[in-house]
Amino acid sequence: MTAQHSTDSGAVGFDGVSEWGRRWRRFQRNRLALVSLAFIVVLALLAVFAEVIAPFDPNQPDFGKRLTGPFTDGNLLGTDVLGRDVFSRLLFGLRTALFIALTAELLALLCALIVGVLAGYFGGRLDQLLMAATDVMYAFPTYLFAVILATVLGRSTWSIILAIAIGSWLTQARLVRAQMIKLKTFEYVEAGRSMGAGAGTLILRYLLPNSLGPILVATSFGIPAAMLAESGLAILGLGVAPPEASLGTMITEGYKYVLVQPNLILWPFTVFALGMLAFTWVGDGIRDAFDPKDD
Amino acid sequence: MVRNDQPLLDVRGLSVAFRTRGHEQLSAVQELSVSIDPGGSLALVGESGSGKSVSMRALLGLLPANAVVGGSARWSGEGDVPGGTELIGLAPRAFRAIRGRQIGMVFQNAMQALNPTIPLKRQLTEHLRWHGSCTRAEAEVRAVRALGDVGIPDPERRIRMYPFQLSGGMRQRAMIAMAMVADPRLLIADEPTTAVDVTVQKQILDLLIDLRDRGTAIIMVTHDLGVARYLCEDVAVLYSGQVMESARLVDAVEDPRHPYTRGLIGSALELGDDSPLRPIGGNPPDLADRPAGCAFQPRCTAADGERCAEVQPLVRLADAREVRCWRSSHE
Amino acid sequence: MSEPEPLLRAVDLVKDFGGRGGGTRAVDAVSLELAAGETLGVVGESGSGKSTLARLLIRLIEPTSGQIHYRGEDVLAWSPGELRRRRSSWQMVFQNPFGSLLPHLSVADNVTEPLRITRQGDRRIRRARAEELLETVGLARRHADLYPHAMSGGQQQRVAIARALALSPELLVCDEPTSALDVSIQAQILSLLMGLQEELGFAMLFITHNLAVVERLAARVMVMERGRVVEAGPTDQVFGAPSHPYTRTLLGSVLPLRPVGTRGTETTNAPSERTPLVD
Repeated sequence: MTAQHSTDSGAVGFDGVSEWGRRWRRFQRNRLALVSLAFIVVLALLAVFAEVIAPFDPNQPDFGKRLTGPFTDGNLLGTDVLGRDVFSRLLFGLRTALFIALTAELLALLCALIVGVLAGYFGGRLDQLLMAATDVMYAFPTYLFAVILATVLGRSTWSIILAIAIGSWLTQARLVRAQMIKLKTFEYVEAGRSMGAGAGTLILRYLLPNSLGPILVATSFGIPAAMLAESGLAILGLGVAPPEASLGTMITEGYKYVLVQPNLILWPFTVFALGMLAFTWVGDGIRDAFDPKDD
Repeated sequence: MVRNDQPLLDVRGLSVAFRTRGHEQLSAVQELSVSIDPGGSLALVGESGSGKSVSMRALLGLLPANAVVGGSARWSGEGDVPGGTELIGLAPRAFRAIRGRQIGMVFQNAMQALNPTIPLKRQLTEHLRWHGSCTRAEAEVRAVRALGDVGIPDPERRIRMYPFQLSGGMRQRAMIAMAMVADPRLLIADEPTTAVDVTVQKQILDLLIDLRDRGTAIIMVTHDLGVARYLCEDVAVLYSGQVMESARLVDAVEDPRHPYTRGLIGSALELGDDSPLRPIGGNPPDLADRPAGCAFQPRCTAADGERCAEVQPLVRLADAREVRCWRSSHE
Repeated sequence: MSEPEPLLRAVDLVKDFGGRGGGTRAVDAVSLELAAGETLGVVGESGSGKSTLARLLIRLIEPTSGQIHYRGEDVLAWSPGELRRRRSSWQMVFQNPFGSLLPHLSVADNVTEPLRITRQGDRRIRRARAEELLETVGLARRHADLYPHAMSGGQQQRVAIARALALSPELLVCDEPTSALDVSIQAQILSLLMGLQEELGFAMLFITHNLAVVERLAARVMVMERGRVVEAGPTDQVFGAPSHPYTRTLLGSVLPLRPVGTRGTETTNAPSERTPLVD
């Protein structure tokens, strides 16, 4: 190398921290998000190991002890109107609620990614067609879908998941599409194309990793919305079929006996509200994590 | 030019530091001393991170709350205040009477500085009516005149337009008109031509020269020595928050005394000049990690380990120049 | 041109954006030739179509009409697959160095991305090649494990240049590669590009609004205004005796640091030198 090549060996902020490492660092800086994440992990563990933890069969009635208060006869949180153990039902209800919300959101995310990427990346006719289709679907309210699905598929967990997913994926698909259209004009995408990268590489390696921020934020805000939708369906009588427990059906049932035994509504509602808040705050944390200006 | 006994703005030992999360204070400007006479023109030249914009914002009280500002800046543009007004630590209320009215400002990005939802007329006259006691009709007359003065053709019609209806060059002019409508004694221009094309840049600078010739003092913040040379008489070269050299611009260009000034001139490309490029190696230091002693030492080709490891004072030379390098006082 | 068939030849390139009446012609009947190892400067202001032209020439966007020949072959006739395979001969350096690097990949991975895309070498070979390329552009081996955000603008642009050189291109298209950088860094990058060209012999299409940069780098220059080439020729002729008024306006807008000739030490400029208002 000739001397006229200047070199530049000076180090500026010498740290080899990857983009994901820095995202995690920024997430951690949001204490509320970190505590919320820990809380969600605890909830998830409780839900996964519900069988092991639950002292009673959640669906086994015991008419000898109906509507008892907490700490009676080994029933940690008392019993409901059929004498079933509220604590055990809470664990299983949590499992149902989390399963429905997470599965519905993941399903929605998957659909949104496929449709959003196709529409946003390829554009043109395909874009017009897909967006017209989503516009039509926008016109149907979520609850109408739920009623239709419940009628066609019967009152099952899957029909609820499907109803919620259908209500939620449209907005996300638009978000993914907008991200694709925005990032497509970035210089690194042009650089990738000029190096001969094909559509697959560009989408999976260039566009998606860098558009995840807003998408993940929307998904984590979508989970509490899905929980809310599930309990809304339960209030309408379209929730999971009895005797299965979900937080939504527990609140709906408990509210009938609120004057006799407020515990029945207090516990599922507390778990439900804290869970929703936790997912929202984790969403805030993800937003911080993907916001590079605060470094 | 007649030298008054007192400069229009006299900045002594200005320092700016930012409190940061976790770290200690980051020092952005250290011991900055510059002054400008009525009708004078001063260029603050430096690269990004040199503290040139931060120092001007500090003078105008425009820094965020985590900034710690020290030193003194005496403003003598009011006339009736003996010894001038101290700008550092001035109450926000008192600042509003000076900022915009006595000291005008022009920024880099006109589109962000102009409110896109309000027609020019209101932006120009609202401004006036806050500052001066003048009626709506008077304000409009002055606003139209200001637009005409900055070379906007057909100002009576254009004053009713929204910023987005103007071309980039026009917007930049409108912003200068906004700064000039209150007839300030000093105009601070922070890279006003960085975002515009070269032909528009020339027009904007010519406009500023007109203003200067009519008696407005101008401080030009720029990274481009060519721009500075075109407009200004004096220059202060900033590096890593410190003045490295201050001189008359002609002298600094013809006979640079500080190695950094020499490096900047060697880096500047000129038409019709085929001498080999002499770039400065390396990068400016991180503010959190300044080298001990002379801040420029790691990139300096004339560095001498021992002498340069000491803190370099700004030394006043015989010809009224100031240089922060021990070599210059030995030459 | 002395060579019978140039490296790159474009004939009557046209690009229209938007359509059906409301469209604009970004590039209007531009023809050019570039010989192997040669540098052609393209000068113009924003909206002149110079960046669009660069992207047309390497088929990042498709021209509305016109022809492009690369070593005598009709580039526009290549299928998408063939185009992708043959892209390695032309590489591009962009204006915004940080924007052109992938933020989630390390410097070494960014530099060898072209090798990965063209499926050359395994991880170990690519790593060695990355270190070699970094050294070529004046960076140190230890920069390989950094991420782009931890580097200065000048270092990022060096990484982008190293990436462009990874496939040993015959043509380097540079779109304002120094205009986002500080002046001292700009000079570093220009001298690096000039040295590399001398050493590796690639041809350069250099797009800039800075006339002094073109004069320094390019033997031939094209001046563009609103999509058209208004003047082209050897740089010293075009700048020494400009024939088109727009070229003269551009030259008149250059602000000299050390004015040549008799102006001496006068800082103020006579009104006669000023450009008239155009808007």
